[in-house]
Amino acid sequence: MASYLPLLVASVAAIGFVGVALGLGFLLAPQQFSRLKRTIYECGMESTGGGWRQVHIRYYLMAILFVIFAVEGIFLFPWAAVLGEIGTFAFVEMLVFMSILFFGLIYAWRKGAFEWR
Amino acid sequence: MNGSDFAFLLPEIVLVATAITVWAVDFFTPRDRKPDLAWPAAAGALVAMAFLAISWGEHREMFLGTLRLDNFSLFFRFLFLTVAFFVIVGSPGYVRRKLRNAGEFYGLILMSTVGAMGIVSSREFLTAYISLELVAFGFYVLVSHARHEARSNEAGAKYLILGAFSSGLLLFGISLIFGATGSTGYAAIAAALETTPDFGMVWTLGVALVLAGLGFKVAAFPFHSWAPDVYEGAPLPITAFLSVGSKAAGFAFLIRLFAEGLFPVLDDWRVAIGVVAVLTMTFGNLVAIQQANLKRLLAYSSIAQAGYILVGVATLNADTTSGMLLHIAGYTATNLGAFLVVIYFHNLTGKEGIDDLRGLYRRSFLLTLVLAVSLLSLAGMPLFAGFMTKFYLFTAAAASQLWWLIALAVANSILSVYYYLLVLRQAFITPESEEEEQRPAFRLPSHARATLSLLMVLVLWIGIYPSVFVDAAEAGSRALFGG
Amino acid sequence: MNFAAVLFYAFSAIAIVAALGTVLARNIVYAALSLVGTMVMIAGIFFILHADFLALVQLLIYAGAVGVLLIFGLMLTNTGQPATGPKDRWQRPIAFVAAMAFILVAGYAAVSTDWMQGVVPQLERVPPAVLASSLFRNWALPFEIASLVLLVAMIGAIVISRRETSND
Repeated sequence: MASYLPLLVASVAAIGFVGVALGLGFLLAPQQFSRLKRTIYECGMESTGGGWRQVHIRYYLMAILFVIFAVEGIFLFPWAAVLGEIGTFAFVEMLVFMSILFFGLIYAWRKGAFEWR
Repeated sequence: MNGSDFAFLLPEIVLVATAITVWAVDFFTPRDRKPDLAWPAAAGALVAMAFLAISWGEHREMFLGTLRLDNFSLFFRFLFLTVAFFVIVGSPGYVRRKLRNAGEFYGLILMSTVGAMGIVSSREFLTAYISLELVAFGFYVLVSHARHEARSNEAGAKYLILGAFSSGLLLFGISLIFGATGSTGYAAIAAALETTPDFGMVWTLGVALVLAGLGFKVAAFPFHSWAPDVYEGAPLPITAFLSVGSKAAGFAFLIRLFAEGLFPVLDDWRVAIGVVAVLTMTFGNLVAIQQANLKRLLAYSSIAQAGYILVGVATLNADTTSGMLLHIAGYTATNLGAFLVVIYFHNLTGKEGIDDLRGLYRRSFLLTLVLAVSLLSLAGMPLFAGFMTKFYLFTAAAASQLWWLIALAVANSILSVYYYLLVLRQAFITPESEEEEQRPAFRLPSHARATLSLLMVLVLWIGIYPSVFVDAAEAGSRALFGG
Repeated sequence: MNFAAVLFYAFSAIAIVAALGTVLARNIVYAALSLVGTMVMIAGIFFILHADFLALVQLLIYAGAVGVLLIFGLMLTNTGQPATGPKDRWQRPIAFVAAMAFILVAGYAAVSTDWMQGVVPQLERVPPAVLASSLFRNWALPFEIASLVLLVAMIGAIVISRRETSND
């Protein structure tokens, strides 16, 4: 359990920092409410429309490719840990795995999934 | 395990390679030629079949027993390759008229087939589960492949949501079984059951959830509700593929699981599975009677057929297993025949209602003949596969002395004759209007005539002289039960 | 009650509250964010169980990548308005009873089982190399099938969502 101590300290520090910063801001800053103040602040530009925008389907494609390659990437960690021990078999295994997904990448590229039209 | 064992996985490797090749060739194929990618895809399935034939009779355990290649898995792998072949060969006309992304379509059919082949060979929950997901992922895309049709999209969404839900049930069940027995391997689970016969509530809940998850996949009552809408909305070749391929894969999973893992506790579940079987067939038949659309009728009829096969699961032993294998083979040939008729009829007319069949015998003798043979076989008429395989299955099941189950199954079988004959009446007897009589005869492409004839011969062969198929089914059953 | 138990109850409580938020929130973005919260808390529980790699996967894949995918998926819809109330209100009591019955059965199963008779009497931290060796030796096959599943998912997503050109 002791090995997780740094993690715990970091989590507490992160949450604490945000909490303290927001809390102090809330306590110290002068509080004034007006309708104008509640409008959306967009770097000085006048904001238009609501907070919800229908996004283009290509964002979804990007997101799903991201998920798939994140899954691929995470398998590389344990693989790296045993590559020396298992040797060729593990190497070939990962080669097959990555080749199959690499074909997926070629497919996505050929079908124009990365074109920003 | 040594390197040469990989030779036994060549059929799967060939299929994956074919699928990827088809996808790659698709990049460089002009649009009007893409539907013809069916031929290389079908050739891949044939090559895989040839590699499979070489390893007949060989038993192999691979990957520390997670995978077992025996005659049971051979039987089903051969069946799935046959299904893939006929579905792909039956598709080009439909694909040309209705679908885009033809290359992806054929490749996904092959990938789903690889998944199904993985399920039957798995002796372990997780390998079987991920193979099942491969089947399902392929189907999610295939069902909604007609992107520009609202019905297909709706079917895809329904199938995806209920499929994901049922996978969740299955996984939760698997994790409870793992928690109780400490293993996901069927053999280890059976061994744990020998030493500890009762794991209590957690075990019961685990098995019930696994059964519910698989019940969704084979569309057993009360988990059937997705089937009619999905069958109706999916592109026709995919409906055919769903009704035979995906169903057979689910049953292969169930049979191996119960034979190798849960056999020691099967007695606790026989009555429950039997009740589900009776409800499934009764519901399927009663609703099928009311259908006016041929696709929906076949959808409900396939729910009823799943009920008959469940009779075999409820009374599982070596004999009923060979009965189930035989029945699944006969049902596959029969249903593929029926669906190919519907596909070709739809290609020529754009229709799929039962009324639209009027005058079919005048317009195409072959279509009418194959439809008649298939429907009579589904109805379980003597001389056709359906009678022989059901007879074999129910006789074997009778040894269990669950008389109510056998009686209700036979009664259902007789009930179903009615609606199959209604369809044939439209095709043969109901007169055409004068205007309709002017319609020209159909011209079927030669490959269509070949596949239809082949399936009809298969149905009659199984129905009249099934010894080859019985031998294969018994060899498959022996792989699970020994002897 | 030791420190691990305190953490476990804290993570579980937050996970349950966030899960309730997922189902009950009227705004689907809040629902999605609550789901991400549940995922993070479950990663915390994996940490307590010494399943480091699993916790990492849970954080990176589920809380990270899948969370992003989910929110993009929601934003594909053209409405930011909260739903106007379900049409099938009569289903609610039935669903409530069914869900409660399932919770009772599952809860009873969890409590009544003597988990200690299983194979894992003592929780130990599994070194990454042992886990990896098991993954790449015993589970080599599911690992490869997973790549096919991912490929099919990728191709399927492109087939379904891509803008079609004249050559498709």
